[in-house]
Formats: sequence, structure tokens, C-alpha cells
Amino acid sequence: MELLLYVALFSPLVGSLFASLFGASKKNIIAGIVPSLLLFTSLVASSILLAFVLSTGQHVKVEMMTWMATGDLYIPFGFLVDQVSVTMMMVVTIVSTIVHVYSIGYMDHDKSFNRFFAWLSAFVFSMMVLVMSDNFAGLFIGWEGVGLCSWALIGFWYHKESATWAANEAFIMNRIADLGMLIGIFLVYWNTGALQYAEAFAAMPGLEHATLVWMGIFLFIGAMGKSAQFPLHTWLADAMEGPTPVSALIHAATMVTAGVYLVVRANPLYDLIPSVGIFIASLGAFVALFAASMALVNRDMKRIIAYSTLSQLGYMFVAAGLGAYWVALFHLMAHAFFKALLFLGAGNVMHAMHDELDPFKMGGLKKVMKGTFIMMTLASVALAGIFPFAGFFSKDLILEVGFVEHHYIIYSVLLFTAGLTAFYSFRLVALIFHGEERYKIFGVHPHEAYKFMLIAMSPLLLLAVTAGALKMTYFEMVTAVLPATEYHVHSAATYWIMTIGTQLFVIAAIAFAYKKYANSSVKVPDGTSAIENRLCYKVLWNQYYIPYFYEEYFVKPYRELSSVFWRYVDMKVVDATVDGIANILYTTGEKTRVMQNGNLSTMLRWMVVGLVVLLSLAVVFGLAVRHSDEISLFLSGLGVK
Amino acid sequence: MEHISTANPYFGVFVLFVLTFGAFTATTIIARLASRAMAAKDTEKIKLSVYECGPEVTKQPNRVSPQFYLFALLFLLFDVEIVFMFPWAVDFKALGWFGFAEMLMFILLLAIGFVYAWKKGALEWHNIK
Amino acid sequence: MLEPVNVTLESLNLMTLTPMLIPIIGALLILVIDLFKSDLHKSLYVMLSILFLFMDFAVLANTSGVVAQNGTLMGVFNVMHIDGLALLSQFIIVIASMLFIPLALTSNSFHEFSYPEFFALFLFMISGFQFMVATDNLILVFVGLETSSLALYTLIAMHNRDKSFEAAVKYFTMGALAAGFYSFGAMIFYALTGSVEINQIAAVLSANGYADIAYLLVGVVFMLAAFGFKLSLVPFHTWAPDVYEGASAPMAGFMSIVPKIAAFVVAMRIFEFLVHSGIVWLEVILYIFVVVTMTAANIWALVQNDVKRMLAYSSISHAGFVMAAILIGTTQANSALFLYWVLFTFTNLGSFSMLWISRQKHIPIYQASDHSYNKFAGLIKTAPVAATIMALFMLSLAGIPPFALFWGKFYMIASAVTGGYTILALIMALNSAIAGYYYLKLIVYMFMKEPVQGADLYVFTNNASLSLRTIVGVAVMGTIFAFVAVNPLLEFITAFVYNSGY
Repeated sequence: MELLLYVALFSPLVGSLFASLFGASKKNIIAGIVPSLLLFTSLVASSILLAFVLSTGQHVKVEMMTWMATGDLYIPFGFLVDQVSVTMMMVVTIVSTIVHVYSIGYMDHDKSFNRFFAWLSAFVFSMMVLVMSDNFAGLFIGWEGVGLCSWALIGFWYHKESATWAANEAFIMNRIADLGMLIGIFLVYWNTGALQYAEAFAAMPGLEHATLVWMGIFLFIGAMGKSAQFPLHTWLADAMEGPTPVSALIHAATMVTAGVYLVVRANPLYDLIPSVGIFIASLGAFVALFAASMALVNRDMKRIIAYSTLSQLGYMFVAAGLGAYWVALFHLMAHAFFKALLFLGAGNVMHAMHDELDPFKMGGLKKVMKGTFIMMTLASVALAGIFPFAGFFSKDLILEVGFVEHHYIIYSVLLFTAGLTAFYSFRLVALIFHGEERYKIFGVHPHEAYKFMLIAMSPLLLLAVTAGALKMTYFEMVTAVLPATEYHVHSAATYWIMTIGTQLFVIAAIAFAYKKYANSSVKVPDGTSAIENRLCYKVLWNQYYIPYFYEEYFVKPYRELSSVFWRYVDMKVVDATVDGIANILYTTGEKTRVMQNGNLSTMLRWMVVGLVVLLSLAVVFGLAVRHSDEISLFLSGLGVK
Repeated sequence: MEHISTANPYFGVFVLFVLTFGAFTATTIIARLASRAMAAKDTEKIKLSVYECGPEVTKQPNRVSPQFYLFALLFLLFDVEIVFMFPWAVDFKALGWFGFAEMLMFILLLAIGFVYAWKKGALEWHNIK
Repeated sequence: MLEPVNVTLESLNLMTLTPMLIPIIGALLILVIDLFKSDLHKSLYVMLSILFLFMDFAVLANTSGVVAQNGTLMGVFNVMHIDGLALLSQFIIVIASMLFIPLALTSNSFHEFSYPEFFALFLFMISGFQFMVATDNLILVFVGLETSSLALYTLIAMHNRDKSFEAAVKYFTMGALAAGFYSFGAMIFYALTGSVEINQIAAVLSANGYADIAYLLVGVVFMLAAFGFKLSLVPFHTWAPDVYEGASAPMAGFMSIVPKIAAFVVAMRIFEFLVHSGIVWLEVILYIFVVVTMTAANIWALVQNDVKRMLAYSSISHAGFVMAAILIGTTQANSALFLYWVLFTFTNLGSFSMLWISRQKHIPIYQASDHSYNKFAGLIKTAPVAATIMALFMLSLAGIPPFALFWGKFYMIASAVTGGYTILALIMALNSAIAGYYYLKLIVYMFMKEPVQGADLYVFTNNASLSLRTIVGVAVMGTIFAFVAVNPLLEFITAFVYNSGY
């Protein structure tokens, strides 16, 4: 089993290194195929591990090596496969294998084909380190690793200024959050003396409540950054500058869920501090609604899906915050499948439309892109949570959790959001695939994607449709390590009313979306229609003016402040000091380098001088020791003690 | 001061050593002062050039061939060898087979050196490869 | 008539001598081969040298097994003293030599490698270093020191350039002075204690309670001066930059590593018992040495215009840094010394090999010296791989995590802190910061400046034969993946150091 663990962990790394061998050379299909195969190996290994964990209920634990041991600091580098991490491993390997295969087609015409696979596999490796590590240090390494890979992949087309900007934004936002995370980890280490999950969590009940709260808050700040929770959410939408497979893998299925994973991992901690949990849940509910509302009016296909991701992450945090960790993890898994599918579908559409992102400029694509149409529709159905698709089981469960835990406000917010979700998902589907063929005005000739890309996507489709059926199996497996709370509405009548009511509400939202956007009267908006001039539309369109707000109240003052600091503090004080020190060093160096004039006699003389100085010091010391009595007598005579 | 006292058998050596050191220092200082006083003050360009090994490069009346140095060196080597062999020969019986083996080894090593020097032509006048 | 001496072969314990004999036999073999068949290609001699060094290594590994079981081995009338320290340093010496000797296989032919004597001298030198570390007899240390030094002077001179001759002569003269210091110090120790074995000296001194402290200190001063020369501690360092500049790059890199580890081991044997017996004066003097060497060398390195000279000063600074271990004197510090030196070996091997690869037969006009900074200007544009590799070594030398030397510095400073030398640790950290400046200067030159007009674009590809590339590859691997090896290595080292009581 240990061998399998290493295979699962390291084959992406090998793939990455392999692809990077071709980094500087021309596109080579091998650089895409080999990493994909290696990832498939990793997937197989993960599946066997899953089967093992499922059948025996045991964990696989290895301590690869001692990483750091100095004084009291002892950090072994260990990996753990338990029910939680194996779930994540499965999600990561399945989605990334598919995305890899898909990318072979998607990146077909890209010059930097090889570099793409090097980074993509490196990302998978970092993600595996993140989820498989059995300690906070390893988690943090993986955490930073995925951040780095994400930065490189968002900015993959670095010749586009917007892409580099978005990459930097994502990196910096994450950096701010990582600081919080690091403080959290330090707090854990300081107070429990261990970084291993098992030991650290075992020591936590004995700690003061306030300490635990601080730990929880700081760790959650880290999670907020990675999972793009308010107010650190702006980077996720901008991250859509990256290639679409990246968006599917990193910014929908895996990396952004790392925050949820962290909270789930740290469940013993968050169980001890329910107040923080409530905060997380409230924030999650807020983000769910907030992001969904922005998705309503957006006119960028990928951003709409990105906002939907944000909203679904909110759902997950609600579940995690309310202590329903397994529900959060279950939704994470189901969401990964249909959201990746949705993104890959969007990628197909983008390819067909020559990188056009505005769904208003599409329409009627179902005739030319049948496969993509079916997949995206089914994925949207799953996202909307229609029975019997995956989303129904996982998302409805979160609603139930909110209801059963008596958080009715959260419940109603989530319910409303479910309607919004259905609406914007099908607004997108309707605009892209139904109605008039508006693209003709722009002279585009869409075509379906390669067949193998569609085939590669089909496992996701299967999972998106059927993952819900695994609910009870999953529950039994994962509750071996997570709190096993079943969430049942007590009276059957209430339960049925809730479920059917939700379904009806969602279906109504879908119908409304179709009615409004699937007809032939949809035009490409030009800013003149009444709805576009309404206040709420504008607010939503401008993302609640938050980027504007950040620009105006953080970036600009910061820039002003920076320039003031630069002009006065930095140039006059810091620079002067640093330059001064450097100058002193330099002049000392220049002055004393005369010592080294290359003359042999001088050099010999220096040696003798050194010897003589040492000798005289020795003699002085020796005499002082010999005559210490007289000296002290003499000194005392002088009045010195 | 137990070890170093006049009673110490090596005290005489120590005194000698001190005297030698003093004499050495005195001689160098005197020689230096004398040469400084007597030397011709020459500030030619070539003399002040960077390469430092002392006297001007001028024609010397009696140049010594470097071959002599090589011969001196080889002589010194074999001389030391003989010096080493002498006490060995005196105590040959006491040292026994072990001493014999050791000396054989020593001579073998030197012989290799000797053959090497011979083959390289170090023993021939003006014929260094 | 004397009593017949009866020496059994077992009492000699010739096993202790074998590791040194192997390179000597190899050297003789090379000489003999040359006598009978001259004009053989240099690669044969390189391979022979590596073969004998490898045999040396195997014997050492075997001996280390015995030492690990039975403790310190004594042999040949108790002159040979094989303990963990001896083995560890011999491992470093032999491995470093094995890594340096393939650098002779350049594409361009150089004068010195056409002589088989070069390789014979090289092997003689190795055995000299091995003798130095594998004994605590001051006379044998001296013999080893002289064997290796004389060979080394010749090896430097063989590079056959004016600067090389100058360097060899300077090194020789100063080395002779230092040898004088050494023998004088040894004499004083002998006069005080009647023994030339360090553990005997220690025993006698502690038995009489360090009564003759003044004379002892005089002896210590001479020893300090002698080892100050070998370890290039300020102010006995003056030879280093000139000699490094004059010697060929592989020789310079070699000199920055192997002679110093040998000298460190001897210094450790001589000074540590003195430091531990509470001679405040020595502690203060060593403290001053460490601080002055680190700082002054760093400051001088800042103002150099030649990369090789800069590296020379940086080696001086590193030696000062590591000298701190002898001052601190705990097992942790001594282990850190060896760890540091292993990691330093890889990094310095790499950086000097890069200089060697870029060695030109004729210096172009725009370069003031062989490896002046502007030779490296804009290297990222002309030879991106070479620039990246060089930058990697510079970052490692500067101690940027996670590259090799970071771990060395980390454990060194950690041992200073646990040893109670907090201020020293602070000074060491500060010096690492200063050092970062001049290493980055080279990186700035390579990555941010424009290449000099008309620069030779192929300088980094011409000379790089397969074996040179391999060595650089080994160094790169060692530098990058050090973090994997650090802990097992440290455990290994600590076991050996602890075994031999340091």
C-alpha cells in the first residue's frame, strides 16, 4: 500500500519533470501524452487505495523521512491516506486526468504546449501533497505549490497584459491569506507543540478557548484566500484569463476547494469553537447569494461559471461551518464533477467561437455542437440540483442541514440562491445553444471539438449524473473519521414539502430563464435597453462596485501612500541608510584592499605581524596570570575593585 | 615552571635557540640597514615595475646553470637516504626482519624515484625533457 | 647491544595504513607507466586516478565499518589514529578529489594535463592529506602537511602561466614560513609535555593543571599562525586571492575544499581540548579570528572585479564561518562543520567548474582578467542554461533556501545558538546577509546587463566536454536536492563525530 501511495503521489511529479524536459523545445505531443498516462497511473493507484480504505477501514500512513530536526523542532515528512484524503485524491486524479486528456486537444495549436503540461502536472503534484500530507507543514508546502502553479497557469499567456495582471492579482490575494494561514499554523505549533494533525488535534481540547478561536480564525483566513471567499473573492473571476482547462481543474474542481478541505481537516478544531463555525456558515451563505447575484447579469461565459463556483463554495462553507463536514466534502466532490464538465464544455464553445466569451453573441449552437450541448445542459441540470442528478443530493442536503440546525435565515438564503443558480445556469445554456444564430453576424463558423475531447469528458458526465447515488456509501465511509451526523427532517410531511417545493422553485427558475433567453428576440445588448439602465442591474454588472471600491479605496490610497513613502521615507531615510552602510562597507573594502597588494614581502610581513600581535597578546595574558596577585593589589591600591 | 628550568636537560638547547633567534634578527636588521645605506638609489622604471623578486634584470657576470640546482637537489635526496641508512645499519641485528623489510621498502621507493629521474634525463647535462 | 625488536604484523595493524598507501601506489604506477610508455592520452591517467581513489574509498568504507564496531583504531606503533573524525574527513577528501579530477578532461587541451606527473602528484597530495587527518602525532601531521603542500605548489605552477608561477612561488614561500611556525609550535608543545601525541599532550597538561600557561600560549600562537595560514584566516589569508587567481579553476576549487578540511580536522584535534579546558585567552582569540575573517573577507569580496577573486574571498569568509565550530566545540557544532563542508564541496565544485568551462585560451580585450565580471554580463541571453546554473550556485553560496548551503548555515547558526554564542550567531547571520550582496552582484550581471559588444558567445559551450557537464550536473543535483539528504547525512556525521569524542 505504501508503494501505491508513493505512486499516486509522485507520478504527477514525474510527468511534470518529463514535460519540462521539453520545456524549451517545440510542441511535442509526447509531452502531453506521458503526463496524462502518468496521471492515469496515479488515478489507478488512488482507486486501489480507495478500495483498500473502503474495504478495511484502515488508514495508510507513511513517514517518508525526517524533514527537519533541530533542537525541539521535529518535523517528519509524512503522508496519510484516510477516508477524507482518499476522497480528495480521487477527485483530484479523476478531474485532472480528464483535463489532461482534454488539454491535449484544447492546447493543440498552442506554442507552449509542453510548458502547459509541465505546469499542469506540477499543479496536480502540489495538490496531492496538500491533500495527502499528515501535517500542517506539508499542507502548507502543497498550499504554496498550488498557489505557484496557479499563478503560472493563469498567466500562462503571459504576453497578454490582462493575463499577467490576473495572475499577479491571484497570487497577491492568496499571499495575504497565506500570511493568515501561516500565523494559524504557528499558533497551532506554539500551543500544541506538534504539526501532525493527529497530535495537534489531540492536544487542542486542553487549550484555552480564546487561543482556539484565534487559531480557527487565522486558519480560516488562509482558507478564505484559496477558496476566494468575500472579501478576497475578486481574483477568482479574473483568474478566468487562464486557459479553460486550467479553470476547470484549478479554479473549479480542485484548488479552490482546498479551503473547504482545510476546514474539514481541522474539524476537531472547529468543533471546539462553534461560534467561528457560525461565522463561517454565515459568510458562506452570504457569498453564495452574493456570487449568484453577480452571475445573473454577467456577459462573460467563463466568469458566469466562475461566479457559480464561488457560490457553490459558499454552500460548502455553510455545511462545513455548521459541522456537517461530510456533507461539505460530498458537495465538494459532486461539484467538482459537474463544474469541471461545465468548464470543459465552455472550453469547447470558446474554441468553436474563436475565443468569443459573450454568450449574447452566440445562440443556436445546439445544431452544430450536439455533444457539448448535451453535456453542458446535463451539467447545468446537475448544478441546479434537479432530481436525480448529483447536485440534488449534495445541495439539497446542505439546505436540509441549515433547516435541521435551525438556521432558518441561512436556509432561506440558500434556497433563494438555489433558484438564482438555476436561473443563471440556464440563462447561459439558453443564450449559447438556443434561439437565433446570432454568431452569424460576426462571421464565425463554429465547429464541434475533437471527438476524443468529448469522450474524455464523458466520465465526468457519468459522475455528474450518478454521483448522488453514492451518498449513503460515501456517508458510511467518510464518517469513520468525520463526525457522523445524519441530517433528517423529522416529519416526513415537512421533508416532502421542502424537497418538492425546492424542486418546483428551481424548475420554475429554469423555465423563466428559457422563456426569457431562448427565444428569437434576444439581441446583443448595446447598453440601451431599459433593464440595462436599472440601478440593480448596474450594481450587479459592476460586481457591487467592489473592484471599483478596491481600486478607489485600497489601491489608489495605497499608491499615494507608497509614493509618499517612496519619495520621503524610502529615498531620504531608508535608501540613504542602506546606501550609507553599503558605502561604508565599500570604502572599508577599498581602503583595506591595499593590504592585498600582491607583493610577496608585504604578504609575509602580514603573516609575521599577525604572529607578533598574537604573541604579544599571549605574553600579556601570561604575565597577567602569573602576576595576578600583584596586579589586583596594584589595582586595589588605585581604588579599582 | 617545573619543566623549563636550568635543571632541564634541554635548557641549553633553549638558550642556544634564543641566542640564534636573536642573532638571526640582528643580522637581518643589520644587513637591511647596511644594504639600504650602501645600495645605489636607482629609480629606473624597470626596477619599480610590479614583479617584485628584487634585483634588476641585468646581465650577471657569472650565471649559474639551473642544472646545478637540480643536481644539488638530487644529491641532497640521496644524501639524506644514506643518513637514514646509517643508524639502520648499526642497529641492524636488533631491528631484525622487520627492519630489513622496512629498509627494502624505503630503498624500493627511492629506486623508483631514481629510475624516474634517470629516465627523464635529469642526470644528463643540458638535456632536461 | 640493543634488545632485538620483535614486531608482529598484527600489532602494526596495517589496515590503518592501507587507505593512504593506495593513492601512493597509484601515483607510482602512473609514474612507472609513463616511464615505459609515454604519450598516452590523459584520459587514461584520469581514469587510473579515479580508479585508485575509488579503491581508497572502498577501503575507507570497510574501515569505517570496523571503527563503527570497535571504536578508534590505532596502528603502526600507535602513530596512526583512525577515529570517526579521520574517516569522515577522508571520505570528504577522497570524494571531493574524485569529483575534481575529471575536470582535467576538457575539450581544449591544457598544458598541465599532458604530464602524467600531474596525476601522480595529485595522488601523492591526497595521501598527504589523508595522513594529516588520520593521526594525532604532530610529526606525522607535519609530514603529511608537507607532502601535500609540496605537491600542491607544483600542481599550481603546472598551469603554465605567469600568474601561476607567481602564485606557486608565493604560496611556497608563505607555506614555508607557516611550516616553520608549525614546527616551532610543535616544539614548544614537546618541550612542555615531552610528547608529540595530542592526547598525551592533553593528558600531561591537564595533569599539571596548565601550570605553564604562558609558554603554552606561545605554542598555541605558533600553531594558530600555521593553521591560520592553511585555513586562510585573516591576517594569514593574503596568499589566498593571488593563488586562487593564478591557479587553474579546478585547482582553485580543490584548494578551497580539500586542504581546508584536512587542516580543520587537525585544528579541531589541537584546539578543542584547549578550548574545553577553559583557556579564556584562546577562546577570545578564536572569537576574534572568526569574526574578523568572516567580516573582512566579505568586505573585500564586495570590491573585487574578478569572479574568481571574489570566490577566493568568499572561500575565506566561509572558512571563517566554519571556524566558529571549533570555537563552539560542541558535538553539534563539529557535526555542523562537516555537514557544511560537504554541502560547500558540491556548491564550490559547481561554481569553479563553471569558471573552468568558461576558461578562454586568450583573454579578449574587454576583459580585465580571466573571469572578470563583464565576461558574465548578459549571460542569460547568450547562454541561458549556463547562466541559470551559475545563478543557482551563487544562490546556494549566499545561503538562500532550499539550496545546499542554506542547510549548512542553518545548522551552524543553530549550533552557535545552542552553544550559547548568541551574539556570534547574530554576527554570522549578518555576514551571510553581506555575502548575499556580492553573490547577487554576479546574478545581476548575468541577468540584467546587456552582453558586451562582440563578446564570444560560445565561451560556455566550447570547453564543455561530457565529463565537465557531468560534474556540473552532479553539483547541480547536490545543490538542489541537498534538502533531501541533509538529515540522513547529519545523522551519519553526528554518529562518527560523537564516536570519536568531539
